[in-house]
Amino acid sequence: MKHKTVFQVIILVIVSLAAILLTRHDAFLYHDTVAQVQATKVLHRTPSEDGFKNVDHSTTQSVTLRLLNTAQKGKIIQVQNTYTDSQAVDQNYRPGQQVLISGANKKSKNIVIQGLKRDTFMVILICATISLILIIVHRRGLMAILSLIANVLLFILAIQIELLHNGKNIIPIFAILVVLFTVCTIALIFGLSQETLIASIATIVSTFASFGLFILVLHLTGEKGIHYEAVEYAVQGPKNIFLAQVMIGVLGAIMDESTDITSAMYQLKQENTDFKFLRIFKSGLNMGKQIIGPLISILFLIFMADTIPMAVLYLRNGNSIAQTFNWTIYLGVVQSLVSAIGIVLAVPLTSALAGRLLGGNHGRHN
Amino acid sequence: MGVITSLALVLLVLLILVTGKDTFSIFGGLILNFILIFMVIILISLGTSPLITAFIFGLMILALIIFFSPVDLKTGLVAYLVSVSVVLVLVALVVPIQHFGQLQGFGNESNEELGGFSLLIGISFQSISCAAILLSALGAIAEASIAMASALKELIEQTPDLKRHDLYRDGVEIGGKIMGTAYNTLFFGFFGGYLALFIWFIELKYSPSLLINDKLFIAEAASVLVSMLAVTLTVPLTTFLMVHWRQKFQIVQNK
Repeated sequence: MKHKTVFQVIILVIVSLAAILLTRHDAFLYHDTVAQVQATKVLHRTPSEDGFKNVDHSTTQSVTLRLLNTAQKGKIIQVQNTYTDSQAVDQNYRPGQQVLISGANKKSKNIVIQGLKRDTFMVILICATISLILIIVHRRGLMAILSLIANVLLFILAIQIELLHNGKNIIPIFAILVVLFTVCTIALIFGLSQETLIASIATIVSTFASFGLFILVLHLTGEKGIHYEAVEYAVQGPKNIFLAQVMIGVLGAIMDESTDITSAMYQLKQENTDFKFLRIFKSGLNMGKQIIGPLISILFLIFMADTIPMAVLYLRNGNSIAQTFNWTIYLGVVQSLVSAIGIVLAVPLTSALAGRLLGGNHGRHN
Repeated sequence: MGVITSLALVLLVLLILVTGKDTFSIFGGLILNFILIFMVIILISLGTSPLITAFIFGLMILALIIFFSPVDLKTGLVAYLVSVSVVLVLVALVVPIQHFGQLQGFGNESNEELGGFSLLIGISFQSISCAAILLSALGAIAEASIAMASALKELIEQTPDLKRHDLYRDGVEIGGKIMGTAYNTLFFGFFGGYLALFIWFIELKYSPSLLINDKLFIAEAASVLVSMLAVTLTVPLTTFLMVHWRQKFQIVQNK
């Protein structure tokens, strides 16, 4: 066993190093011009104060770049780059970084750094995460990674289909996706079994039920307080995109919860073959109570942390706390609450289904 | 009545129906959590260091999640110790991650939205980005460590004569189960937060080279990966602590 682990670690390290080296020297694969920062020099630094008494500095640096691809490979050029202390949309470049630039082909002087080349960084992070998962939780980690990859592919496919319909059918498409995601993911955990049936139905029903309640609340309150314009990056109807986000966001947590309860109840039934509906239902509720709180916090923190940069920007731009709340945090809170509702609903649903399907037959014939 | 108030009421009623007296700690915990996050935002905008603020409040948020959940004190303490250790590792990780990835602030995708704002606000968005990555992983860390600690405690109670080696092996097995579903929660949570962005990428036909260098995309992916890393670290840490806890404090005899 020990030797096998060492061997696996060596393979992981070699694969990771190869991937990292490749992305560090992959400039030839790019259509855009790639360059490496050779040296930087600060030209001037000017203090500034905006209308809200925020003190900041703008620094202009001269960046020496060596082109890494295109016909001009190896050529050294000078570019100017300006960045602020807060670096909200700009950044300070350092020697050794690789960047993407535009305007290098033309004779013009408009060479601009488009942004940092982040592929090497990304590959290092992916390799580190996957290696750690494989080393710590072995085979199950591998299964989890495979299931995530399958989900990403489904996602991309769904968005493609959604675009074919010009974004009109986003809700139905993502509703179908909810079913596909759930069945695929849970079947990968339990195989084709009664447990898969219980957990999948419970997940799908709770997700749609919480979504239905949300729509009902929107209807009854006349959507009071919601500013859909605040949905970030919405290229099409922001309301529908937000609704789809709400539906997808909670799915993982509900799956997590209903698979946990289902597998515990299955084990309970195997150890106590005489347990009927009520005993199983009650144990399920009891177990659910313990996981509801932490599960709600997972999503709450993810949705809230997303809003921090924008909320800080609002507050520093002289907006009141109430305004900031309404325009940046409101939607995050709504999404958290709908998710919480789904997470709570999944507990009695899973327990009841488990009680009904497992409690019905005496003993299991294997 | 606004949407938030109505949804909160629906949640409250459902919680009372499903969890009975636990409603108080779950709903109360959620409200306190919200107050803490809100304070983080206010403090950062008043000029405190974002990463340090997030770290200090993070310790409080962890305590809130863990001790407001219905676990016994000893299991809770193990879970809290594990979570704090993981958060310390995370702080050491996010700084280099931010340094090399330069994930701060807003992307080109936000240009229109930022039109009327002064961006020279004198607060380091680099540090804000570290704070956000740290905070978004907290819930998952707490949940995983609670699940690990409870499962291991039950195992030790049921089979007190397990050898140390067997405990480590079972720890990996239990951890694998918990991780599989925890990754799903994170994955969908993050996708649910940024679905609009992904539709944007595909609708505007981002080329692969544009996508894998895009600040927002990479920032989002880094957040998920860091959370997954953090959650995974709870497995060996909890197992290690539980094994030692058992010998030093003898959970079994106290039962």
